[in-house]
Amino acid sequence: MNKEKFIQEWIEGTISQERVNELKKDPEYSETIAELETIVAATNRIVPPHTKSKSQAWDEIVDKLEEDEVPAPKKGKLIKLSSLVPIGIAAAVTLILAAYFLLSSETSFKTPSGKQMAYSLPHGTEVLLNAETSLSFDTSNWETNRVVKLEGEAYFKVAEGVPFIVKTKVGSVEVLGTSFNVFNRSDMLVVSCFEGKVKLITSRAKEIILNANQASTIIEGEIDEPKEFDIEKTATWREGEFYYEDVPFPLVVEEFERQYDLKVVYDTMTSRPYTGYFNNKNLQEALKLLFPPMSYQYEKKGSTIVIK
Amino acid sequence: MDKESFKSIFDQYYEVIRNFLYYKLGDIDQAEDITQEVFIKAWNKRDEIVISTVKSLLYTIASNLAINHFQSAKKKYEFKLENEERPTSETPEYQMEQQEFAIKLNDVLDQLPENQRIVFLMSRIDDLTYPQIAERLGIGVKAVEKRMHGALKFLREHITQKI
Repeated sequence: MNKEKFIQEWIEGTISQERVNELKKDPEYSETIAELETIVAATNRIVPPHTKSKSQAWDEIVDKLEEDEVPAPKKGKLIKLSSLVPIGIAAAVTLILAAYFLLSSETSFKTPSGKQMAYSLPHGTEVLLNAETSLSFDTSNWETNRVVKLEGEAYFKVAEGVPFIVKTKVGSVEVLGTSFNVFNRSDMLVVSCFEGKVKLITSRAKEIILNANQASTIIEGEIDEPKEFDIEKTATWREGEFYYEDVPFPLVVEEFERQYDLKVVYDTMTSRPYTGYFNNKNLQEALKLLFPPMSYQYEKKGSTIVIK
Repeated sequence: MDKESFKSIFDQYYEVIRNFLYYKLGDIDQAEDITQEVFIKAWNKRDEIVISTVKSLLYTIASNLAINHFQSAKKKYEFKLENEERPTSETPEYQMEQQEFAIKLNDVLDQLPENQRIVFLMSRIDDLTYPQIAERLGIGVKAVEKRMHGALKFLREHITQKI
């Protein structure tokens, strides 16, 4: 075990006290341990201050919520910071923001298999990432240049402002304030617009505009005409539900693997289209809904599903 | 989401979110005010909350709200050390020593870069593992390790020889 690793595990508390005592006798470790012991011992007892109890804090929140319980419009409205504070303060805030974003300009998020994550991007834009998705962006010029790079699938809710651009290997999506879903796996890109308007641009510079409730697909550089979609069955991965209508079965299996962090093993895989549904909460049910309808038998072996 | 399930989220995360904001801001009044805002914001988004991601959502809201607040002029850490359960902890000398140490510790924590301070305290006070910290802050485990490493180095240099 190297020393750095040992220190790490000790601080993290994943190493036993006996092992620490043992290593104390080792001249290579004794000095480091002696030095760190003070810090470890002290910070074992360190407590942050508070001025009110948890239940007091809860009561205050309940009071506040009741005050605000005037029926609010369903859609949240963005309030510009500048309308709330005098101009001088606004400038100072901008400076603080600018300093913050300069310090942490390149950001990236990545979700593993079997997990979905929600993030807020600067200035009120929100994004929910499906499993096995990566998103990266540079916040240094965020106010004039909102560009993110995506691989995987994400649902965006974009706050109003300068154009917001999602780049993928296959093409890019450009919007103002709106909500939309982007699915990009290998050479396929599907964009579904939920609110507002979305401009879809292929890597060969062909363009198409999507209105609310329209979706379009790019495969092998070709862009489809916009189609109306069923709002109840689109981008429902956010609730852990997956609906398919005439989708090549291998694509469905790939999504299943991502959701359950499992590997599906097979000799021959049909490319017949699948129509159906599964969710990411009940593995047994998902298996039944996916494989028997396609005339496959399945067997779970550890973290793999073998199908025949 | 109804009020009851929201209350259970509150119960589970109130303290860690308040602590997180305190680590960031060093002003407990401000940290408590913003924590309140965090939960009100979360309540307003209750229809969109996915339980599996609520943790990182709360931390993200907290970070964003903290950015919008001015750094308080009062920034000064007031961490205390709980008494050890041993006979000497009653003596005035010992109490004095402990107080001096706490002052020193607060001072050093203040000088620690914010990123490192937050990770260090989330590990020490909130008892979170590195992967848990990584998830909550939306960063990689490697980044957590790096920040911890920096924090420990700094603390070793600034605390150990002085006591």
